[in-house]
Amino acid sequence: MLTLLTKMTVEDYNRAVDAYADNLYRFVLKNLRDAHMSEDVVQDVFEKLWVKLESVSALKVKTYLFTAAYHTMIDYIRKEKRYQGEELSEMEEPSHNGHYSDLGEVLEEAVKRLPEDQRSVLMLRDYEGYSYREIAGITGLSETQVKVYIYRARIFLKQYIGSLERVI
Amino acid sequence: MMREIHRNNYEAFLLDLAEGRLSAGEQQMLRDFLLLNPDCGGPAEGLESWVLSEEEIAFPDRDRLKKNIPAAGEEISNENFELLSIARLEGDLSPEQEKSHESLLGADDAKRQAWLAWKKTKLVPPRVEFPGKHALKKHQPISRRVLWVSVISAAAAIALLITLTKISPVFPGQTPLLESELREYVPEGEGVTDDPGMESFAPVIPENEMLASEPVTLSIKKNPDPPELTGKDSGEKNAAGPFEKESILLTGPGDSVNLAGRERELQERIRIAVLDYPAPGIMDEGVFDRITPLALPAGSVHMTGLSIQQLSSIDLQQMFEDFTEENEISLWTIANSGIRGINRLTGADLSLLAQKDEDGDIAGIRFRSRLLSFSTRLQRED
Repeated sequence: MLTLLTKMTVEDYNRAVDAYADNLYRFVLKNLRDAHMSEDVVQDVFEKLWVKLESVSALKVKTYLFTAAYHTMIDYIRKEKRYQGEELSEMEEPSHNGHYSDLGEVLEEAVKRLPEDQRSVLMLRDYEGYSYREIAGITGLSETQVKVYIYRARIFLKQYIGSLERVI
Repeated sequence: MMREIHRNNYEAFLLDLAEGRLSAGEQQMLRDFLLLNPDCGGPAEGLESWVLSEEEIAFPDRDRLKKNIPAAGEEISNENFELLSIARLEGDLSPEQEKSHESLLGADDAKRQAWLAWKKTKLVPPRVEFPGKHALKKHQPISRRVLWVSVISAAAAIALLITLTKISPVFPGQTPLLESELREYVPEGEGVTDDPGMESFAPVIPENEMLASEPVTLSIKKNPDPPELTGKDSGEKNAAGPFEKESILLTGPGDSVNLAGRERELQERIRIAVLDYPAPGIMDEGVFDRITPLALPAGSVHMTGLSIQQLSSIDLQQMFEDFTEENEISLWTIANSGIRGINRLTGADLSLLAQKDEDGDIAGIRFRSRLLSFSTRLQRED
């Protein structure tokens, strides 16, 4: 349990590492799909937290971490240009040549094909349970935009799953 | 004031006319100008037609484009079923709407199948472990630094005690500080007896003239090029202690210590004092409370042939200066730090007070402990 003090202590910081490092890593990894880069992002984010330890509230540390991770991740993506040319094909009709063993794999494949914004927002919603407002705060989008992205993401996932179920 | 129209600005007049910003006078002026300058657009007839009239074109079925997050109480229908299914998935429906949605599913198998498909779009967080979690954690730098300072300053004090009283056994490769050497610092004729009671002969500085110990900061630099140890001591001591192949230089703020000639000896004594410390794990975080008191032999000061009175009359400053090339760091700095370090580590109640002269220099000191208490005035040579 993190303390309610406004300023974080070293103990709070270490507790935040225990509590959120895995979730943060999952969030970044699922978006970047590169383990080394994701580790770098998580390390960067915690270094930022360490530097700003006294100005970050222990109550808002999780939001701080995810906000920093989201923006660091976006920076990484822009720098690496990893998604150049990919986004054009992301919303194309789903097609898959491999074999899926369960729904989880299908869903994971579908999530990979979501546009960056929709994927991040959906993960924050489903993995971390953030509210629309919190997601808006983390991503810098408006609350309405968050809802629209979630809506579009769900539509796409449903269509993707449905089309594969017909194939399977 | 009416603007003048000419060939360079008549187009601005035309634009103003089109947007209805020209007065009647300006419109007339523009017409006159165009009549006189037909190459600028010809007669001004029909200028009003430049202004586009609003054309009403309506998009058919505009309402179908609208998307609304269902309001509480909104009835569920075939039209909004998809939207409300997502809303239910997100937990945005009111209990009544949820009940209505459920009843709709019961009545329509296609909708039930659709709802099951919606439910599948909910992501289940997978278990992912960040591999570098331990490396992210930070340790308490402050307490560790304090511990370092405590240990090293205690070592400094112990080294001084060793130097003064020879309480330490002599290790191989060490040159013991001979009593005759110590006696060089005792004023001639001072003290002729070992009687501890004679300490009362030492000059006592009144309590109100003493200053509380000033804060002292010691920074510790590990010697990047530690001296090679020789003999039996080098193997055994180095392997056991946390200061393996390291020696320690003590520096005060802005000070440097160069132990001329006897550098090896004093450094070695400091190192050994640390290595011989009874709790080998003292550098580990969190074991501070388990540090046991130093096993200083009771009455160790009597192991020397010097009396208390002689010890108290030793010119400490001069003695220390003889050990150093540069005298910016005072014995007081190290001794005071050492006293504080010993108190911190052992819970002892040692105190060191200083008397300062008019120039702010330390003119005398008083040391107090349960075993020993003495005062001395420092001799200075300007």
